Amino acid sequence: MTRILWVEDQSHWIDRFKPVLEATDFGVEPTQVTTFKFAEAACQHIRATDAPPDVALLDAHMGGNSHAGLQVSRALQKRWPEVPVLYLSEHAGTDIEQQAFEQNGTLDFIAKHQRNVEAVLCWRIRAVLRQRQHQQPAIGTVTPLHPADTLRSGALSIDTRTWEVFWRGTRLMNPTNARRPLAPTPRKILRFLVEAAPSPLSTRQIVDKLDADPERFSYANYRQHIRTLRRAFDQAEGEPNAFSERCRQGEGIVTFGDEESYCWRPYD
Amino acid sequence: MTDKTSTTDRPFQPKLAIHFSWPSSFAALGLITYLFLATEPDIAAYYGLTGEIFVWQYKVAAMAVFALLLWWDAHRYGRDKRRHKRERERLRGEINQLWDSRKQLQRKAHAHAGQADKLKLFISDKLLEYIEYDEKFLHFKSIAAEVRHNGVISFDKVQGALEAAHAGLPEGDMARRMTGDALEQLRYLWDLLDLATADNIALHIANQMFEFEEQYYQRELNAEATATWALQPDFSPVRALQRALLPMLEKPTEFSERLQSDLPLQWSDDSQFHVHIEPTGNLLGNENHWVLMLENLLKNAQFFSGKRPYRHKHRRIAIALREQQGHAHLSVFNGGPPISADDQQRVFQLGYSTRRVKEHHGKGLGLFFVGEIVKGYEGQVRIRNIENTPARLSLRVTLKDGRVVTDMIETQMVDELPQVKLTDGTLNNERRWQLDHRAVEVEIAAQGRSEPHRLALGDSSGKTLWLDPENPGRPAWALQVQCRRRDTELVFTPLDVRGVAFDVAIPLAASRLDDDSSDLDLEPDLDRLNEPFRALEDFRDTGTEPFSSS
Repeated sequence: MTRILWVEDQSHWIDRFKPVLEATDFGVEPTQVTTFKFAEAACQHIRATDAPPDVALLDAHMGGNSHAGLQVSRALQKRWPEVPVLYLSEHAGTDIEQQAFEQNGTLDFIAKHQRNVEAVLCWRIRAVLRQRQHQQPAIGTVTPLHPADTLRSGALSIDTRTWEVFWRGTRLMNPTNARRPLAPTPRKILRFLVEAAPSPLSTRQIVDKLDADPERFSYANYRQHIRTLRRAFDQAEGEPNAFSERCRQGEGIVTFGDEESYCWRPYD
Repeated sequence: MTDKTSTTDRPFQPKLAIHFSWPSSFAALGLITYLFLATEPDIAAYYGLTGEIFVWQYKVAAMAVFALLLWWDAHRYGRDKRRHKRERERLRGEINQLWDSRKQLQRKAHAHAGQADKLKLFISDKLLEYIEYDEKFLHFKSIAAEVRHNGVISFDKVQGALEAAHAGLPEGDMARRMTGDALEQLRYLWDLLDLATADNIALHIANQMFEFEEQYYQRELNAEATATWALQPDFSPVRALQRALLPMLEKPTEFSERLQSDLPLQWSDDSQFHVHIEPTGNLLGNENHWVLMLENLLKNAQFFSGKRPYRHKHRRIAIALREQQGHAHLSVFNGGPPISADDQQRVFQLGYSTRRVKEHHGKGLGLFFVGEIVKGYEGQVRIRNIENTPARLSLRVTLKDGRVVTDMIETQMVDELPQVKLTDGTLNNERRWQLDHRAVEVEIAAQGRSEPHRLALGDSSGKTLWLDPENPGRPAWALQVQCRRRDTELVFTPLDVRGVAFDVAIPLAASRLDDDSSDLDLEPDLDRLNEPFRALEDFRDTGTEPFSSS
């Protein structure tokens, strides 16, 4: 069962989203949505109950109090620091959003008023739950949603549905800007390398797998994507050049021979 | 109860019992009595005490017990004294600490008071200039926030009703189209409120872009899974331009029809606008942001075009949209006064306007929005002042009897305005040619260009106006051809092209798919986005003057 704790003071939002959330499969059916209209009631429930929710959805501004959402998020932090918190509010872009992100555990701030907000909400909850699953592979607190959707190799895990890459539980992002997602081609290349390991993949093989135009995709492109990947790993490590150094020592993404090939050598 | 509460909040409560020397006192009394009875056998006999208990061994034992108790009491007293002394010292230390922390707080208060003075200094004359606008903007922002917060339920109800009505109407129905438009406008209004209440518009948009980017990547990675998604992470800039432009055009329906039929499109059937649209790839983000940016650019252009009414009648606002090197390029030209280099730096600032107070229609927000939106979309906006330039053209007229007449046309600048050189070397506003036969074709080629422009003339008599095809939105010359049965008259007029062009370049969505394969560092300039706040951060971090050269 996927448990969602939702604190929202306006009934029309609850009427609108609750059926959608309950009807959505977040990996482990059924989905149970517990709603609270008051921050105090939610805090009391959090203190009293023993079963942590899988994800908490909070409205930021409730009953004229801009800090109501933050209050609930603090109570959650105190009780279950690992529970991911998502804000669903009409205050996106304001200082309330900034304050929310300054709190630990806030993973997302979803604007209520956008087109297809229901779809966006479900997509983001699913993304958060999947990310959590990758962050806690060893701990049995979260039931693996779809073990078949996860490709693991050493400290690396790849979500084969969304192609998201996690290194030691940290999602790989764009090395030029840590807030931007990693581009699709490097994600694909890494997955192909992991699937082919311990065999290397040459430029030609990668071109075949990517279904790219051999005229346009050369070894230079391949090398550049590998460089991007290594920099993304470095970023996830939190230490400059830590992963690249390991690659030079023959672990991680290794340059293979002089045949314009690369190979994945897992390590923990 | 009060005692209890007053003592429980103390962190440390030592037990400080004082032990009076009761044991040795009583023992002393007992010993005195015993010794007294030992010296008075009569009294001892009266109490029935035998002489055996007064033997010397007992006396020594009693003395020893007394000495032991006396030592015990002395020891206890000493221990208590030491404890009290320790406690006194601890309290004294605590009091000293309290005094120290009080002094420290006072020092801090002084320091903060000093910093407040520094902050006052920091608000220099330059900043004070903008405070008035900032206040207006904040006022506007708080109103927008209030509207957004209080209107959320109304908005939702209206949107729900419109969606239900839209779904219930048959395809192609007029009412359905109107409902769809209303729904679109309602969402536009919401996005306006969203931007108006954002603390930092550029950052807010940049954050949204990261979300759109992941959606866009998902579409690339899972084409099947995302095919059913109704999410739209990208939009067509052509459609956004159409939405912003339609309410301003004279013939919106014809324009829409032409736009749907084919691109590229040249639209000059309007007294105010000349539009040139080439096929352009999609952009990542929210179409409404682009509509807002375009509306502001177009309104700005409309205002400044009206500032130069004495310019020629062929002058229009020229809008061009094209794709180049992975960017969507938009150019909006107006024939208004040039913008000085100083003003070019400032026009995108909040509250800055080049309009005089008397005719102040805006609040300096329009171009501020444009600048912020472009920054959020990681694009660039540039202002170009267009000047008149001298030119040399070659004219070639083919007559009906097969003869060809050629001539050179030269324009020169007089007080920044173009004038054409006549055959006698003098300069004039126009140049005429009288030909003794009917012309069938006119060619004009700019010097240095291999491809001449041709105008085929029909058999019908009458006037034909030919505007510089090199730059139809901003023609540098006009050629009027008057064909009669026996002769032809040509009038060449060089035109004033001075004005200002706003050029916006924004990376296309597709360029984000493979930007990693290039060595370019396409990181959005967070420093630039945080520019408005840097001065304050510098001040906060170092306490130094924010406008110092460091």
